[in-house]
Amino acid sequence: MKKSPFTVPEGYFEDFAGKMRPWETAAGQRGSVARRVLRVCAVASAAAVIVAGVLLSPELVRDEDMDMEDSYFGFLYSDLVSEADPELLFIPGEDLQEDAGSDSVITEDDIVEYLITSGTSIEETLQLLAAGESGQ
Amino acid sequence: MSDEEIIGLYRRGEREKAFNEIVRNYSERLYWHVRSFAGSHDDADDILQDIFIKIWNALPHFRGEARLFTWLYRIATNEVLNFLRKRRLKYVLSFTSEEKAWVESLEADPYFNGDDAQKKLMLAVGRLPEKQRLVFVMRYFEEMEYQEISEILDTSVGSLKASYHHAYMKIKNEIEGGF
Repeated sequence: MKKSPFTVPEGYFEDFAGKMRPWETAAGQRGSVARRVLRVCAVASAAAVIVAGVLLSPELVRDEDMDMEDSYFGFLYSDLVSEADPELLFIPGEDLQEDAGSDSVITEDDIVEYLITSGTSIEETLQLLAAGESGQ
Repeated sequence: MSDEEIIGLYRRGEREKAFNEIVRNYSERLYWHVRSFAGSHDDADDILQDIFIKIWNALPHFRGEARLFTWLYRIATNEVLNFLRKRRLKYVLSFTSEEKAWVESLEADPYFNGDDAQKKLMLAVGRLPEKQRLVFVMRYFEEMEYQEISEILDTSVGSLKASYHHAYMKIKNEIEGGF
């Protein structure tokens, strides 16, 4: 194993073995309950902000026929987020796209994954990618 | 204690002792498996604890068809993937750039003591799609054999080699291009 550029607190692994006693904690939950609670609160707060934005934004059309997707995009473009960095509103397809076959933007990595899993050789894959880049 | 002895211990009813041996044998190795994906030591610690809790709960179902090593790594890898997906959802909900967050976490990490080249490498690794990142980390940092990775990820050796090659070239271009 290559030497990692990361370090650990002194005594971490020795202490870790001692604290791993899942038969003692309720339902095998890990010891850092406080961290989990904080994390849940953070997610709940973020969700509350989104809901508040949907309910309070004057830009949204309150149309009973509007489905969830429309209200989500309506929120994205509402005044509530107009002060934010515009680039943050647009999540690049590559950040979300991990598996081939998803409905979102197809990236070059998806194409490569598909070619690889379909048994295409490395040489053919590189040739196809080069052809794609040159617009052939 | 070898894996076979640990399994024997478990099957004789000494569950806690067997589990302690698994923790002793594998905690450090699984920590480093996780660390390249976690943004901080605290996150890595959380994930590692989750892994061993899952191991404890899943031990009664271990049938011995796969090696203990392979089975443990599969659990660990699934936990890493779960963590990455939850983190992505968190960034989406908070309108945060995942890449920006990864850069900031690396720069603020008090337990990162690599040089500039290693920092560039870790940043480039962080930009890889999930599966390529997994293959790259397991092959490059953990120096696992393709056959071992194949058993853990249930993917053919050929596909792994192609994934690794693609990831390697992408990282090489980023580092040399000075992104």
